[in-house]
Amino acid sequence: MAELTIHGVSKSFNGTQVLQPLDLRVGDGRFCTMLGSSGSGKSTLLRIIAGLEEPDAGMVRVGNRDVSRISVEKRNIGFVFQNYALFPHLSVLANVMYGLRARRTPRAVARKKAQEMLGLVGLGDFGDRAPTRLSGGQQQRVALARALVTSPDILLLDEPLSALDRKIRGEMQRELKRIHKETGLTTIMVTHDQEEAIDLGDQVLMLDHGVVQQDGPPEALYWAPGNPFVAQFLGGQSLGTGHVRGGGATARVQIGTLTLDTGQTDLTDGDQVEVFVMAESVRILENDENAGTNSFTGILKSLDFFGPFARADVDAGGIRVPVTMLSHDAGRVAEGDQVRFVIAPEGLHAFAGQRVA
Amino acid sequence: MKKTALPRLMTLWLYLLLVILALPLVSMAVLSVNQSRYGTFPFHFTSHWYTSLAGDSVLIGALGTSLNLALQATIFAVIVGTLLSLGMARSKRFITVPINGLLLALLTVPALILAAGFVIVFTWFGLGSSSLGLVLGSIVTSVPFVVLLVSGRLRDLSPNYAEAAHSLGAGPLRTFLTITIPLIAPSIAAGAMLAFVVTFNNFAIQLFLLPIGVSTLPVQIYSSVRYGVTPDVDALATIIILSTVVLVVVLNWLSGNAAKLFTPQTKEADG
Repeated sequence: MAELTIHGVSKSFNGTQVLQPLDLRVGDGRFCTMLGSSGSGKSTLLRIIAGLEEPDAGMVRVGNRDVSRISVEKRNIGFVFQNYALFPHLSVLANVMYGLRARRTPRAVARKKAQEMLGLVGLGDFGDRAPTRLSGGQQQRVALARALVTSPDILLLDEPLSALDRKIRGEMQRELKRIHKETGLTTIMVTHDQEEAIDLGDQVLMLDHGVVQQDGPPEALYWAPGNPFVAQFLGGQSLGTGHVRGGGATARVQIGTLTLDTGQTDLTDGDQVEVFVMAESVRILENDENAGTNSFTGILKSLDFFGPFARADVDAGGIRVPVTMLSHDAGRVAEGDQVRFVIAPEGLHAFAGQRVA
Repeated sequence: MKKTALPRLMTLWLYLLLVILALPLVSMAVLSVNQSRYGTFPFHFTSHWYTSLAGDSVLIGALGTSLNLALQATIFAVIVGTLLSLGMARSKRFITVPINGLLLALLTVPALILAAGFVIVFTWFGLGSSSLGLVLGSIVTSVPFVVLLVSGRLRDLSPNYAEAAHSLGAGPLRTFLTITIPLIAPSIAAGAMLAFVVTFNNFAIQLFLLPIGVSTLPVQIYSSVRYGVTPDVDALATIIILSTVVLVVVLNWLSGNAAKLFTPQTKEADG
């Protein structure tokens, strides 16, 4: 168990810079998720922390130990691969024992510890099986048990849930939470799924093209995205470009016929800004409901049913406003209706003069 | 369903082809259990030729030489070929391309020309017509087959296995012995069998490089058939064909099914 500190780490492959120099600190016992699309450099960063990749520059520190120049096998880490990489020629139990045997633990002790660890992940009876005969979720658990049994300082997970189908993924997500809680291990997980990252992480590092976009608690990223990229990645949709009227707490953004209160106090009068809206913060008003700020009228252009919730597009004076509502509320409206809607100010994010990535 | 003429014609063609291919082998097997010394009919069954074969000390001696040669060459070819494959797997292109070219040349150049080359080179080093030269020549001709199979397997092998072993605290040697070698073992075994068969049958190399007074089986057979194929040669050929078939079947199983056993199924990603 240890704190992870990264300072000035950068990496390039064949002249392409995949990681710009970056700093990261993950506190002892914290769960950090690294979020980004493919090619963002998140997996490379994880592999550098593990020692599977050597950084061009910078320092990786686990606890108070500088591991930058230490090879993988001496770093005392637990690593779970995306495809699990269970050794196909060894039994499940032998897979879990492998790390202990590599540390010269006597066979009997290793066997006992591995058996206990398999019990912890709910696979106590599966020790004799071949890993290829297990389901995806079970292989995942074996990979976790194998990484945890050696009591590593940090646990590194490379997209551990992406190969599982949706149902098992939710189950494994809870399992990961439970294991993290029980072991108290400093954990770093790479993912491209924002829900996974926000649910599991108590710190989210958002990467794009090898540059840190934002680093903070998941709530901060969601409620106050630092730039258009983060806002978009977390579900924000662009309303277009508008102009700021006024300043400070009374600043409003004018886009077409809409005058929007974004709740932001950092806007400057006259600036050109791009505005993003989280569709779940737009609500269609009941007929006689009182309208406050940010309420407008538009034509419902489309309505798509997704089971528990429904998505709609409202055309408000030429601006397309996305709406997400519970299916329960979708029965009230139909395509072509004239509707009134309200946008919660905290669901609006305006960014001045920044190019959308 | 109505069958059109074309597929039927093709089926017929296929069977005809198979018969033509199998005819020499089958006729040898038939003649080896026929009484007539000159391969004439009517057919009368006998196992005489097989028993007389067992008493033919020259042929048995040649068989021993051949097995011995094939075994020695195989052992070295497997070691050299496996190490070469492992080295090439972590080398840059400017190293692997020339080596691959050389191996390909060894596979495609007629054995006769290769053998003539060996004779020249070995004479320079005083190895002309020696057992050592013969073994060396056999190794060189069988290494490409080992590399072909082992390299293929290494290319398909995910680097994650070795990385996982490292992440669990295993050093390079431990990882190599407990992870890499077992994972490529089926291909090494298949390469060994192929090398064995190739060395055993490499007539041209053996004819050119054999020490005086020693004979391998193919060379011995060659010298006896110069005066006509006799039923005891047919019997010997039948035995060789059958054992080769068994080897090839095992080899096929190793490189096909067995390799699959060691290849983890990739789980389909969630859509």
